[in-house]
Amino acid sequence: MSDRASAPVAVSEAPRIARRRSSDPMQPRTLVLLAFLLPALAFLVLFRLTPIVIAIGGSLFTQNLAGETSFGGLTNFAQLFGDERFWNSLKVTLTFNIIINPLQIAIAFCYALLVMAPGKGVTFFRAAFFLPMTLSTGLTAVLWNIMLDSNLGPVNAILEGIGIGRQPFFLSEHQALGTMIAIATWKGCGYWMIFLLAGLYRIPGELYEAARIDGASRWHQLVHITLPQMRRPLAFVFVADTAINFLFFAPVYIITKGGPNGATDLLMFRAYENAFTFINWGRSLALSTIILVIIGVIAAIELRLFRDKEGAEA
Amino acid sequence: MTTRRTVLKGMTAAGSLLAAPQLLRAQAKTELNVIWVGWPEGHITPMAEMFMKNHPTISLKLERIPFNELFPALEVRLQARTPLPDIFFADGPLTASYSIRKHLAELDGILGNDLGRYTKAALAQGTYKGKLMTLPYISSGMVLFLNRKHFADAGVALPEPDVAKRWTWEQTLEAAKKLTDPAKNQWGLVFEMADRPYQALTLPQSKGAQVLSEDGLTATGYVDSQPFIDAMQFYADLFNKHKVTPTGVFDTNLALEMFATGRASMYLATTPSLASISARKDLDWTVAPQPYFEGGKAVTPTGSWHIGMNPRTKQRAAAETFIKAFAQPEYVEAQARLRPNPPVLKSVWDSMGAELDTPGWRIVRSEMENTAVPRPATPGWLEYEDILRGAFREIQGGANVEQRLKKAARDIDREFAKYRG
Repeated sequence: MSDRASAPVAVSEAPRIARRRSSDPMQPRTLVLLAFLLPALAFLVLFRLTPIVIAIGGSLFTQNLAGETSFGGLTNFAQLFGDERFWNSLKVTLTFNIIINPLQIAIAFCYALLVMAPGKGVTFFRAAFFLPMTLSTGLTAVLWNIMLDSNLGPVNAILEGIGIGRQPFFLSEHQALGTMIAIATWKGCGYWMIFLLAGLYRIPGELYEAARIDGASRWHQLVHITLPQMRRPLAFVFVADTAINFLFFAPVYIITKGGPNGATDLLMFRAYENAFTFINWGRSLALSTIILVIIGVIAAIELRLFRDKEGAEA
Repeated sequence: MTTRRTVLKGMTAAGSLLAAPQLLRAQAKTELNVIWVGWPEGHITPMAEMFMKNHPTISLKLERIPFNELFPALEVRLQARTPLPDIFFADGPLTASYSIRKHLAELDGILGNDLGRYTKAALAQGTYKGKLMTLPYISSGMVLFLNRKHFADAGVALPEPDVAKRWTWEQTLEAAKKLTDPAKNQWGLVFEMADRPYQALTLPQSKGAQVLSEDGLTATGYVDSQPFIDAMQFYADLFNKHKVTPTGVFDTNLALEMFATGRASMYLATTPSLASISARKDLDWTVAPQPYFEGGKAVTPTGSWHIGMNPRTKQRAAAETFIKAFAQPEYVEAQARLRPNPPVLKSVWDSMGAELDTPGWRIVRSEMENTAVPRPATPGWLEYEDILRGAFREIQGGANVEQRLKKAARDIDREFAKYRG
């Protein structure tokens, strides 16, 4: 009895001891690993974590016109929460993200499915879908601003030609945010397509083969094989896309400056405007901190949602 | 015996001897870091070369920043409160803002008391609390450019290049309606700076509006006053109701191209356009003074580029030399010859008399003496301009003029709170 009881313990203890030994900081292998990791960690701390800490710390300080700073506690946040423009910006930012994130990922997923299948000319479509990503954001904004110009833009000339009539696009309070979402989607989908395409290639072909033998339709294969297998890549793309879109800035700065009537007044633009036009660094850093918190919360929710499903399935 | 050590020693000694003159020269030169507005290189490099030739111990490290990016870029650099840049170009109305925030060294002691040689508006823009804080460099003025062929084709009589026979805005609108031809993509009137208060403020001012309180710290009651609203309603109607002016043309180069390529019949623009348009040999054009509102007064914009010295500079002596040099008439004249902006020194108007004796320049000189109004003096010009630009853009896009101006006034006053202290 005692022999039978002790045997499994010995077996299960062995790898645990080995793992413990390998993580001993005095082990040469650990030192080598640390040496390799150290430069990357140093850059991570210096260029990622330090600015975040400075931003959070700076949001608690105020600066007078002569540049002297003093601790203000939550003054900057209190001012923001009492400002109607902040609430409008928050609403616009959330609306923008609620629409753009699922939209971009849905389109990117469709792109990936379309270009995954082998066939004639598939490389052309892959390149065509990815091409907008190679343009700089500034150039994209300038390009689309010209294309959609209400008087001189070719898009409006076409719309007028086919009888729809000229549209104000960025000049209209009702169309500006939608137009902004459209150009961001045009630019971003190809990028996310690459990640999703890599995920699609990792799904074992046997799963589809077995499903076909069982008579599953394409739709059933998509719902019951592709989507569950794509949970991890989708989780990454959702989180990364959310973070990038909450920091969406350049086209707003270049084209609309937050207008018309606050329709594109995203929080990130407000942070810039407060720092460099309104000379209020504390308020700008408070806005950055709020954006950071929102991204953190939403990313945690997204990860949780994907993890829960994974756990349930397991 | 020649060892490797001996050879190395010899090479080191020879290298030192060869490098010594360069090292000495490099040590003797003081480098000034200068931020210049991003004009074409041909308007800047000759001025820098002229300075370095006259002051061989100082070298200039020039950084040209495009006009649209200059002010945010300067904010970043100056807010860092470092010794660089030593010298920077400043828009006249920003003198107060930079002075309050201690980004400018006083220039009174450097230039002496002979400041009466500057034009009145330029000197006023460089002065804060009675002290000269930025050196006036070149000024600006506007004229109305006219496409002769368009006027002839539409059967509209051209306004004369005579300030005494200035058109009203109402006359200009009637002409613009006849000149606009959507079939030819031809617009009656285009503004060079359609969203910038520099140009647009002259409309309410022509209606008698005061665009900011006397102390420069209150917008409510001024930006949303009835004459301001009436003038901006007229402005909005040009775009939306009468459709004689294209919406969304905020790029100065695009506006210029529209006139230069025959897409616009009238073009209200600053004097650098005189050179650009003169270069288009196939364009038949003339000029007239800026219109005014019937029953109102003639008001034209002006404003100058100034040069500021960073109070934290480590190259104080060289920076002062730069300021003194660019205050000299020969520098102001050389710049005016390179870039057709009105000179800030009265003497240069006289020394360039022959070149400036054209219909366009005669109008500009008269405007500068009689109708030119600089932008309002306020420490919050950066905020005031940015918020009004947004309002003017949206007014062109069809926003309710009164509501939008009331919102702009509230926004400006909120940002001005920090200056009221």
